Amino acid sequence: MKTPVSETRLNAFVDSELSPSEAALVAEAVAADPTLAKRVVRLHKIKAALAAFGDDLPVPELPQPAPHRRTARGRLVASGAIAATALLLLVSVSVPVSAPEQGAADLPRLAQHDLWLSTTTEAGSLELPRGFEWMGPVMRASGLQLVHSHSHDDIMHFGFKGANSCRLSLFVATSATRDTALQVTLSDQVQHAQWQTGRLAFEMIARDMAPARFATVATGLQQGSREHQAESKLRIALLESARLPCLI
Amino acid sequence: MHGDTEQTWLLEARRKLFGYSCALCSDLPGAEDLYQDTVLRAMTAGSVPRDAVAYRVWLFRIMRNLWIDRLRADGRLPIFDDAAEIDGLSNGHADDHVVNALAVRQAFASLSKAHRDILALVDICGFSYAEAAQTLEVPIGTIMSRLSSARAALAARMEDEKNVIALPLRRSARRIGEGG
Repeated sequence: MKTPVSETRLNAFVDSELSPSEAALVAEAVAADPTLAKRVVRLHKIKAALAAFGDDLPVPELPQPAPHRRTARGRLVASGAIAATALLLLVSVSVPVSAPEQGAADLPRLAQHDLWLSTTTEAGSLELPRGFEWMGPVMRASGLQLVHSHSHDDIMHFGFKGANSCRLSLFVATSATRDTALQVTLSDQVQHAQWQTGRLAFEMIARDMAPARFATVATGLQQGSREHQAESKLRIALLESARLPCLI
Repeated sequence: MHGDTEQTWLLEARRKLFGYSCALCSDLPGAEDLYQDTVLRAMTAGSVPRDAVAYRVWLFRIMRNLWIDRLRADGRLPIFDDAAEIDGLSNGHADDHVVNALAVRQAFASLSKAHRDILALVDICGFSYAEAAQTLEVPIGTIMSRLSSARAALAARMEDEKNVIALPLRRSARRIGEGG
């Protein structure tokens, strides 16, 4: 008998806070239960919507620490025009209209993904390059195989293809400065996910992929990248400790 | 003291810090005040964490403490009901309509202070559970239950508001691929 997934665990799964074994169990349950899969998608969408909270408001200038500091009220008067503008913005975004679909302007890599979609010549199944083997189990479990691999300007483009010609792009750049959480944006036209782990910035794009499937693949890859990063750090630490001077 | 490194960390965190402030306060002038006071407090602090992660937690904790001080002064302290049962996300018709970013924000604004607090830290500021636990000085288990409870409340509000606000759905005519 299957153990029901608690709401707390499902939230932790979406937040990539479960251990690999726990995450695997939840992923299995999600894959087997369409209702659960829809709840995962909905949680991802809520997270994505909240992630941008306040991004449309101008951030106030950093105050200068000075002996004669203006009071908070004084600053408010001085920044009245900015506040009024921001308030207008806040009111305007509160108008109950549907959020615009994510377009090409928001996703610079979408054009690269579309360019790849338009190509007809493809090699068969490719091997994942060295350093990215950790993606293998996740992609195999998801029924996706690597059919395209291209590197340009320190950005790697991996193209994966499913049994029914469903295609997914994964872009990996070495431009990350710090770890960031997984952000998933799902619409009917475009599915998009991004996160950063260590020095690597990941961006995943698909069109017409079932949102639940896309979100599950993204969660699996993000967790895989974090675990791989942790293993690498451990390996480096072990190697460094092995270089300690001899005692005798 | 606040050096160049700390100033860089502050600049990197300011967008999320302001987002947290907007999430905690119900009005924009209040959010600006809270943000400015937090930054000033951080920049003039005698002792500053020397680690980037610890600095971020410290910075957001300053903001949260200032916010709680203000609420306490007004006699409006948030109630953290960690024993409350989690209803879970509605399984009814919730899945049938598009999650609208603006609807989420409207529902968020109507949540309790305690729920806004935890959602802001994890979903808006991108804190891990461990960082959120450090900031709020509670166990990770408490973070998990508060978060589940807050998201369930958010989903319930969205269900309520769906009946009041007309959200034009933009469904594509294109068929979504079921398989690979």
